Amino acid sequence: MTIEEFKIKIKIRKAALSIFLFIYAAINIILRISGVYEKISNDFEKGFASSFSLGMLLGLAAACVIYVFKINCALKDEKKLKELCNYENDERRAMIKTKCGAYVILPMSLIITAAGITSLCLNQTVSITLICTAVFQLTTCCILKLYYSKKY
Amino acid sequence: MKTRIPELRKKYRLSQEALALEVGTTRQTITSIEVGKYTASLPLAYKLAHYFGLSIEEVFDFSDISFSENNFK
Repeated sequence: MTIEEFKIKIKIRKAALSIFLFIYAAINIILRISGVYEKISNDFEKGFASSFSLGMLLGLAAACVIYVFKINCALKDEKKLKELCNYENDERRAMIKTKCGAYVILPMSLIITAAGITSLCLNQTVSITLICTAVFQLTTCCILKLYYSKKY
Repeated sequence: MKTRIPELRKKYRLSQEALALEVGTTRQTITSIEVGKYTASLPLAYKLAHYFGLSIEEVFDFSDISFSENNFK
């Protein structure tokens, strides 16, 4: 992949993340103004569901902000852009990710977590089981990644 | 697999980071190749050899690889 192609790719990524952050901020403001937070926090199950999903979204939003900042820095500096391009297309990193199953586990964990959040409104036991599964999968993936990073 | 990368880097006064930037990889990958933990792919081996103006055989040591007797020679 050439630097120009990579530049276009990260610009698209930045736009997508910015849209996500904008929607997240807009929904948060609307919920705050309408007083939905106060209403659902009185009911334990709904309060737990909303707190968990909001915490999860807050974490995702924070990660997005950091990544957008990183992309902005890379777009301003050619050396950083090349370093980021090399890092993302590094063959050793790709091999480690393949070996620890990150390409499958990460999207799967995200889907399981989303299913867990959705089912929080229906059955708390099922949702906690789903969330625990996702966390365990991610932990296993991290341990394997550390192991293969040391090995190769 | 043994390589001559550390020797060539010293000769041309190159840091691992600078070499990684030139050949399109990371410093960690260069370190792993140098210590023999990781075997570079053919495109990366070619890029490294081409960067130093040498052939792949001159940069990487293939003496520990056994070849089949049934070749086309």
